[in-house]
Amino acid sequence: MKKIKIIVVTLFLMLSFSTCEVIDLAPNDRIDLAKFYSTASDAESGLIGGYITTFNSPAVNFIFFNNRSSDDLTAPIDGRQSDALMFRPIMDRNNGDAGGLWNDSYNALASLNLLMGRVPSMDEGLFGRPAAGQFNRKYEILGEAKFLRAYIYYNLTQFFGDVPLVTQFPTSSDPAKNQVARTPKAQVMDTVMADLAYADKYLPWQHNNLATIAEDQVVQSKGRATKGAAKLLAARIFLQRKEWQKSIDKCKEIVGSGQFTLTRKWTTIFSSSNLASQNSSESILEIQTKRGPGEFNNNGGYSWFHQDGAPRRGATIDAFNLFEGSNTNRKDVRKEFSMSQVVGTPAQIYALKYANSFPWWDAANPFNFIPMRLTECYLIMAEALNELSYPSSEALGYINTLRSRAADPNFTNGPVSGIAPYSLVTFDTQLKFRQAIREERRRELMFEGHRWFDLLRYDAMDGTTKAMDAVGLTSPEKLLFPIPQGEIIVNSLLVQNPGYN
Amino acid sequence: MIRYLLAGVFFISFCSTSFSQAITVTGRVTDIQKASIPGLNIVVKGTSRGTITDADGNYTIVCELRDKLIFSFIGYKPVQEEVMGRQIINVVMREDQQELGEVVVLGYNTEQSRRDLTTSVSVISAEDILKIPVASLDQAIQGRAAGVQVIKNTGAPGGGVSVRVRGTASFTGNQEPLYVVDGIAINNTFSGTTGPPDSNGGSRAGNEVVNGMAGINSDDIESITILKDAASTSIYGARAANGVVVITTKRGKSNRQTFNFDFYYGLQSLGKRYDLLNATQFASVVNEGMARSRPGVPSFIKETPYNTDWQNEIFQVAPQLQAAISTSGGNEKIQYFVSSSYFKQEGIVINSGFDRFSYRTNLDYKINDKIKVGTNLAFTFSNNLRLRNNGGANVQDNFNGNSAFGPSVIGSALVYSPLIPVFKPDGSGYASDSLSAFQNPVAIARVGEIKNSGIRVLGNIFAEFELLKGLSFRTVWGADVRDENETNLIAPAPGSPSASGGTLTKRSFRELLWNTNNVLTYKPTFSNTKHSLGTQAGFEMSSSKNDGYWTSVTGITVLGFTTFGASTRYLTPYSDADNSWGMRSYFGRAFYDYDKRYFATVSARVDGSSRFGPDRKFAFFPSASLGWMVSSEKFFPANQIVSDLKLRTSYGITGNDQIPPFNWRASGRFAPTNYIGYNGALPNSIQNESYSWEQTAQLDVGLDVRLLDRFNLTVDYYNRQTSDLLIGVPLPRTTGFGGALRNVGSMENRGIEFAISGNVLKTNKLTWTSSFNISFNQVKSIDASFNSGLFGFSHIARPGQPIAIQLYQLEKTVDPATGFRRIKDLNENGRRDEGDLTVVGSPFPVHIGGFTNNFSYKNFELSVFFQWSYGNMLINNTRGFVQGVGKSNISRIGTNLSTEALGRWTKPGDIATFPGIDYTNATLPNLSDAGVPTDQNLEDGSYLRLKNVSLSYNLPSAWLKNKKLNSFRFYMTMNNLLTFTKYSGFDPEVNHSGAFTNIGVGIDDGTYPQARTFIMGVNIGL
Repeated sequence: MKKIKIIVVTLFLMLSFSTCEVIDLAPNDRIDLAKFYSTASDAESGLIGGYITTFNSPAVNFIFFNNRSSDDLTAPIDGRQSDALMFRPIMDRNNGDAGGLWNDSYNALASLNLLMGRVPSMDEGLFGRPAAGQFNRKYEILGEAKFLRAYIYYNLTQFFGDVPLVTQFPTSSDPAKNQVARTPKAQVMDTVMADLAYADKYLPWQHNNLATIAEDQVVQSKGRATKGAAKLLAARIFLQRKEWQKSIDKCKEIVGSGQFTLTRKWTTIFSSSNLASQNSSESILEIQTKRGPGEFNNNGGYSWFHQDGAPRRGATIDAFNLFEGSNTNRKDVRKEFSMSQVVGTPAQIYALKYANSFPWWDAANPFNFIPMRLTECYLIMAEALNELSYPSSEALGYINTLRSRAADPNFTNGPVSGIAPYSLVTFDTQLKFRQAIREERRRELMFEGHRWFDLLRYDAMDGTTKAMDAVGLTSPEKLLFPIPQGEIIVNSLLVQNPGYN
Repeated sequence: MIRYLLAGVFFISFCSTSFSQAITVTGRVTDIQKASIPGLNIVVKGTSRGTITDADGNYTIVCELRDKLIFSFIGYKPVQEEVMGRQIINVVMREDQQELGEVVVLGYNTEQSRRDLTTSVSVISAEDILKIPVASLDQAIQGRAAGVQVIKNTGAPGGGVSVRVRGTASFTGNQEPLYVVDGIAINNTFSGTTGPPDSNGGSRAGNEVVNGMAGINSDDIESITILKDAASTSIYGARAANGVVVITTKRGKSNRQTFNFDFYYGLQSLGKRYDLLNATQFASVVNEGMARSRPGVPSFIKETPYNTDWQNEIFQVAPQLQAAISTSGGNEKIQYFVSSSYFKQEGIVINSGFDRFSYRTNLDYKINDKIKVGTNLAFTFSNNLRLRNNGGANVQDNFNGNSAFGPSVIGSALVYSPLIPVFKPDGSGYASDSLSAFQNPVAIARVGEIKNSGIRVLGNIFAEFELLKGLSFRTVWGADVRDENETNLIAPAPGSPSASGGTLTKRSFRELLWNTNNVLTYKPTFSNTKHSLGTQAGFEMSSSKNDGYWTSVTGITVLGFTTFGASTRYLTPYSDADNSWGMRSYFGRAFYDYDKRYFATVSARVDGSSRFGPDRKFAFFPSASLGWMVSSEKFFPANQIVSDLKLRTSYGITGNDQIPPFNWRASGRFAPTNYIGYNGALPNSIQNESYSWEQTAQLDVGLDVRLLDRFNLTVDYYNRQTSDLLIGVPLPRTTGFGGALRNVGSMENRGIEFAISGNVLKTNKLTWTSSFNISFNQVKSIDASFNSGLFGFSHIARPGQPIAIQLYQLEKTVDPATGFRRIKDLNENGRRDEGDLTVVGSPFPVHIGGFTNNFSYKNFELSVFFQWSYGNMLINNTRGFVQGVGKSNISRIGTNLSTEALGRWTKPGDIATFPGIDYTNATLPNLSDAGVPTDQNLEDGSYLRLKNVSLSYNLPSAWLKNKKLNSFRFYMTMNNLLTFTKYSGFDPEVNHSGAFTNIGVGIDDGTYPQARTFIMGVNIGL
């Protein structure tokens, strides 16, 4: 009996003070972020999370909202006045598009900030040995994340003006501890430029460090941030800031690298005509999509242009008339690739650049989006050179390079008589040539998400009001998007943009 | 008491017998009211020989001339008679006040006489349970315990039940009480749902949940105690805020061999139907509507020879049966209880049903005077054939064409065209209606299938040691193991955009929940015997490891196969979940009384849980209660009316830990898609260090009175203040997140409970016992400020106000000019806006209750049980289906309507309550009711229900004696026999989303109706 008593008492004491900790469970169905970023594959996964959140929504919407706000795009049939992006007078502080852009952007930034907070303290050795001439993968990962963060913040400042600059992953779920004020745009841009400088330094032209992994090297190099993408984004920003020489330098670094070349045919840039033309030699950053279960696709983005294989959005008459030639006398390849005219009453012109032959419910559209391609460098250089000194035969050369390709006689839809190269005889003043460059830029990059920012830039340079006109405004008040009202309710430090109170 | 009795029996049996001079003694044992006492123990003192009285209180025993007979029975003072050569000894037993009322099981192996209680509990005994054959034991509680609301969410076999003890005290947390079966807290929560992913790839809540309690055979239950106030529940700490249901299963008794066989068979039928248009009326309605939208087409629909009543086609009279066998007995060393049963219920809707096979062994073994060991082991196999879209996902989804679960059988049966036959005339399959977006309801029920198969093992082992005199130790180790598999085949919808075959989803869930609790009990003896003290200290560990996943394929073109191989399309992303948790707890309790006059109990518990964030990892839950037996005081006048009067009060703190596990951690998930060959990780939540239990502080003031020496009256007032309620708090989106669950809300439940029971009449032949309970509860939201206050479509929690239903009000008649319904423009601004919303009532009842009367006359027994709910409003969306005319939606062409449509608006100037039929996509008026919740089908959900009537006949004991039977009983029982209600739907006991929401209750969305059941059975005891 005594034995039993001893056993029982011992058992009781053992159990009650046992170290078997049932209350420290770690979940199996989710990632414990406290322990994440302990291996190289954690970091690669986290980075891909950043790509997915960036490319899934904000990056595509940066392009769409640019188009919708511009004078290139109009709503089909029912007129633009029901679309607050096209017709800003009806834009209000509860606008879902503006709110979605804000939310999705900061969602992507949270992923990126987490990565940038954790990777720097990881040991280089975890990432293996770098390929020849490249930095350790650790720094590339950071560079890719910094590029994406710069890309998002640059676009956000363009749409919203001053935005809260958040560079840390939140540590508290208490709303009171997450109040942030809007950071002056210049300060946000300082961070953007610092991020781009880092990316420019550490990113490779080609992702050779990843060459052995699943997808081929071209897909890795086009689908991720590279030195080229970092330089081009910097060039865009320099152009906007009228830092002409710097923007030329960045573009020349890209062109001079020999990493990218213009495709011989204009028609083989966009994959919607032919999947084989994906990741062409002139694409610098291309959002990679793939058909199949569990693969990244941009169906939502495409269906915005097209639904169930039928076009949805209209090009403006203005944009239509910008191109030379007509239905019967085709001259500019880019016209028929950018829009199609449906003859009827009323006549409709549909935007066409990204076609989608799959119905909306059949997920997994395989067509890539191209946020950055080489032609933009030619256009940036032409524009900057013309601003620096007139006349510039170099600038003229860049424009004519693009024009001659657009006159490609091998256009699949039939014979094209072609467009003529420009000469400075026609554009005998800096002003005239500036106008010609701008028109060429519009034709070349139509619906690729540049026009709205271009209009804002031109207005700032020329003191004109083209941007206001494009969105039906009579005062500049609503040129910026509203800060989402729900955000102002939960973050008392935020001040609304003018025109939305 | 039973223990004392057993101890007595043992003691007696050990004594030696003296030499003999045999004599046969007979007699009858009665109480003071001369009612016979069956089942009473008679033992020859000093021997193990004994017998029990028969149904009439008669006994026969062989003993010796100078023997002493001991008569004993629970609740009565034992009587000792010296035989002294008498051959007839009739005995009158007197009730023992001390032992009166049952012994109440309080959990952790603690029992207390009801008279000594200082807390608020309700007890349901085996006899109460046996009266009503129920599929699930939680239904046995309904109407029988004050303060406990039980709603059968749906009438579907195996369907979920909502049990609410003293109201609802959480916005988001699980509100089901903690169930403790033989000392082991089991998982009574729902294990998950089946459904294809929504458009974001996430899982989708919906469909009907599995009732966790349906796996327990209610025939095995000895007693159910519902602990309600904080003083009784706080010993269960962080799991106790919703109340605790302590279930004790039957055990064998020494020297008392029983064998019981029970069989019943019954039929269930639908109580009430909707009155719908017949084929001719339907055709004229459609043609009238089409004439408006396409003038010049005189008769769009041609009458067919059919007049299908779809309600007849899907509802059926369905059988229900159970066969149960049990045996128990033992000797002083070992006692056993073994049972097995098979229950089968077909649903009153075709192709639905539930069956269950269960088995149990309970064993007790006494190793020596100091050590006892034992085990309880039960396992259950169940199959549940469920009906798609019942009581879960919004049936209205079907109208919008986006139902993830496919269309509902009941909803479709109400709206499907009566002009269509069930089968195509050429016999080539199910007929379909080209006009309608709906599917043939019979086809939906027959072609698709949702089948849930489960195995559950519930068991424990225990050992009890007497370490010193008064000090004992008991250890219990138990487990609740569940394995569930579900197959859901949804046949393709004809003409749907994704006409690419059926969808097959399979779900699997497995859980191992283990628990050990170890309790030291010390009962010191005092020299002053007026002091009485019992103390307990213990610790407990519990953990659940579980995982579940579902995955689905599309493109099942060859129907009838439920294998993934039958698919032509790829696997959709699967979803899995880990809801594991672990707990570690310490607790202590002390009971003290002085002279059975002054009582006090204190308890405290510390719970550490894996669910809680590091800042609040351990929770402390204290409680205290006091009781004062006023009637024992000298100043209390002796009287005939009040024999006992006890005042008691308690206060304590409990917690609700039924919060999503792991949520305090900063977590991430893998993105549903790859990018360039890599799996992406996305942050999912921000760290919340103080994420923790929801806390309830409860005050209880009560009164226990014994009246006229026959009735027990209990009255309780309570006030439950719940704080730290988890609410989804919106975060600045600059964090990257839309919100986080935080402990910020508060709520209040206040109420009064009143219960009285006792013998109304007790004569030699007739006894009448009665019990009545009524309880009032009001639930108020104190602070839900981080939320819009809206829960669902129409339920609102406003600070400081009772939770209510808020809707737009409809004008009584439709617009005479246009025939459209319109809402009341309460703020008279000419348009519909928030100013026109009105709070129109409460989804919670003002009071609920039950009233049971048991009569026994000679060999007949009759039990009549009423149960009610008063003052709750129901939103009858089901009725809305058959009132939803196509005034704005072309897709409603071909939708059948209620016969209310016979009084419809037909031309301008008509004053009508039912709108005109119009399939044009007409511009809606400013005050249109389209797309907003209105009071169109807000109905009074009060009801009084004759829940059960049972009549039984016991064969006379004389007859039984010849056949060597102990008892033979025929019974007939009727459930849901009569319902008095103004509610127009199938059934007022309905709670469409009961399992998913605590606030948004009282919605009838095509919910599976309750059946009316007639059962005949026989029970034989050997």
